[in-house]
Amino acid sequence: MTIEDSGHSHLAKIVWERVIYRRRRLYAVAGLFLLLWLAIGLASSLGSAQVSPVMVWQVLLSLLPGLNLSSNIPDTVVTIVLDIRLPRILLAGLVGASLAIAGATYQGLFRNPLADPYLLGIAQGAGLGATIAFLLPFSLAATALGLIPVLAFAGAILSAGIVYAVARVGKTVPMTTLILAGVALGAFLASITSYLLVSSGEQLHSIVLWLMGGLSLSHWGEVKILLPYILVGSLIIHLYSRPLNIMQLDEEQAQQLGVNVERVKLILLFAATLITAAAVCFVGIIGFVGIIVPHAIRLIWGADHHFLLPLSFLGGASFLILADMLARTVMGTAEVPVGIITAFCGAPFFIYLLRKRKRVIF
Amino acid sequence: MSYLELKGVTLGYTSQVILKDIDIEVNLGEMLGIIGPNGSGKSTLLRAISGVLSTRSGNIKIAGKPISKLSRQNLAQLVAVVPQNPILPETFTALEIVLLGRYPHLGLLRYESQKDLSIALEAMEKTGVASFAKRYINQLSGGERQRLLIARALAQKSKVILFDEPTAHLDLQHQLQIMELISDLSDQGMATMTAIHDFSLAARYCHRLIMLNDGKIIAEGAATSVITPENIEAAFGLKAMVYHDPTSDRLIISPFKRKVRSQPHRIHIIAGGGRGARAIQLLHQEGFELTAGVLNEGDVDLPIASALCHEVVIIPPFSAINIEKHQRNQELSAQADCVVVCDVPFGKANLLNLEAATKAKRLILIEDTPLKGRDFSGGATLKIYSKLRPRAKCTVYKNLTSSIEEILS
Repeated sequence: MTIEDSGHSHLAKIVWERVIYRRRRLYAVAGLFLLLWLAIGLASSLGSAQVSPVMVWQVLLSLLPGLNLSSNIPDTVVTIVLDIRLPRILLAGLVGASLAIAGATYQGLFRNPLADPYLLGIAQGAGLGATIAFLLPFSLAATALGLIPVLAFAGAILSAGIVYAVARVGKTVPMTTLILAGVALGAFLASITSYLLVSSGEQLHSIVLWLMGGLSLSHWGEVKILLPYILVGSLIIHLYSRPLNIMQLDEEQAQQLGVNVERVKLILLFAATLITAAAVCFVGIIGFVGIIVPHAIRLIWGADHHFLLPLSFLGGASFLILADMLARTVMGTAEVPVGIITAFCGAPFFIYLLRKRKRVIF
Repeated sequence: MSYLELKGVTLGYTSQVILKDIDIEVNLGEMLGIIGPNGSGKSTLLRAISGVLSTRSGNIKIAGKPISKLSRQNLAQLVAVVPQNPILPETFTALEIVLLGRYPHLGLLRYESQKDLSIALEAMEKTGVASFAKRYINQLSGGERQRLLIARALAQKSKVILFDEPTAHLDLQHQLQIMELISDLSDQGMATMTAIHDFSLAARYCHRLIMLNDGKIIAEGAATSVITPENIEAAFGLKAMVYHDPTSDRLIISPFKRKVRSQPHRIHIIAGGGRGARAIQLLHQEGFELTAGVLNEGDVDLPIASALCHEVVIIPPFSAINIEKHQRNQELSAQADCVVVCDVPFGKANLLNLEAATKAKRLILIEDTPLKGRDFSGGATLKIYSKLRPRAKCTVYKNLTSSIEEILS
């Protein structure tokens, strides 16, 4: 065999391995997509009124144009599935997807495994906004959704904007400064929220419940508002998978490899902040999803953002749908805050993955 | 017009100017070396050419295009960098790192094709890292990492590659390997620019050198005209011996440290045949001002004497000392606070060296080798030597410094 032959076969081998590598991850995307549908189906059938999985699927598939399988199903069942459960499930899915993909983005951008979607003071900003909305003596009827999500969204965006402006040095935004500014502003806003809570009187309970996060008040309207934000934001983030991969090296190398680092940072921070703020303003602060889901995906399928981002999106959606399903069913009629479920079920699974795979993931 | 061109470039960070009004040209096929002390702006220069640092004034052109007008992606198609201490995450395999070099040609929307893979692998084969394509970064040695980074730069398919101290932290074998590699790339028509601390490697491989100091180019050209004791002293504040070793055809650079004396006593050294080098080095370190007497061109003592002495009396190879040079030698002996006669073999050709020592105010004779073994003049040496000996202090190299201190006090 000549040297050239061995070179060719080496190339062929590497090419084939890349094909396999890619194919495995595309299967994973398909697998998680399937899991998402199963989660939606399962969550639709469980609840205070049990609906058989067969009926649920008949109702769900009837949503597809040209299919009508629900003609012999009672209207009450259709109403329970489509108007009560499905919006809540979809909202959970959208929020879970947002938090997971935003978490993956922040972790990649900051090269910090502890970065979470609330890093830039978004949680504290939203919390303060919501608290103020609760305490205002009037409710703004002008918006269909009420004042709480509007002020929460404004608080989140405003907080991230201030953090960004504070951390900016000339034309660049050093990532460490950004994290520190986020921590500082977050603490400041949280202290105001705490003060307002102490003096909030009878509203205390509902504010605390909001801050803990939950999906109990979900309607189609919220799903429709959230959908475009999250789809557009996630699409933008996906577009930047390759620069995100390169930015795992230091910024100088990334620039020398042709990445416009400052522009990529700005676009990704903007997109991730937007979808996090959109998610947080309707459902409050749900912890853990943004950290645990991307890391679990990394542990299983590696850190390549081309696949990490879509897998996190799908995984986050399924995870929060199932967690919310447990939240509304485990205690009978009463609800457990979903944040408790995400941490209680997610953490042991994550620790199991950490123990099983000993290789470096970050 | 050169492929890479810097005109009147001034660079700096916030309040500090690092390089002022620099002009540099590099042609395709040329290997340019940048030398200079720490902080002289070598890395800054490379950062500017790779577009990471913008120029304060002046402009940088690659292939006739001003780089300030190019997008990052387009610039990365024209110039690649092999950085000094890059962060390479351990989650990447060697192949994945090299594939990042394809980004300038892929952009946001395209996934890498088979062509990109084969370019990456070809680059890895060129630098000898193809066999560990699947290894993770933390499983590579320093030399392998460096060659991997060169492969990544090659995958960018740019005509200019900038190297920031590519041999730092590498062992001797890998240093040579890396320099050979850069040299090959230049031979294949690339323009390379290498910031490097090692003068010997720079002199051996680079076609042309630029020495930076204090924000300016203080010397430019062939190694022999850039790496000179004068330039080294100007840039590094170091006395150094630089000489061309005829056996290996290499430039040998050997720096010296030096004490500062309150009274700069002057010492004249009678050297030759390699017997003087040690004394010259020793006394130079002690901070004395040195002159040396008559040496033939090609004498082993000459390179170090020329590097460290204020004045050396030199005659053509294999010739005897003529009267004119003898007079100068006598003058230097007379002017010196002390004359040191090394244990040189004396014959007819250099007997006048010993004669000149009679003019000394104070005299030291080094007798590690007794005169008997090095008298090739048929007795004439002994005559002069026995005249000198009663008024001289006899010593050995080991005690030379203390003997001089004694005789001078």
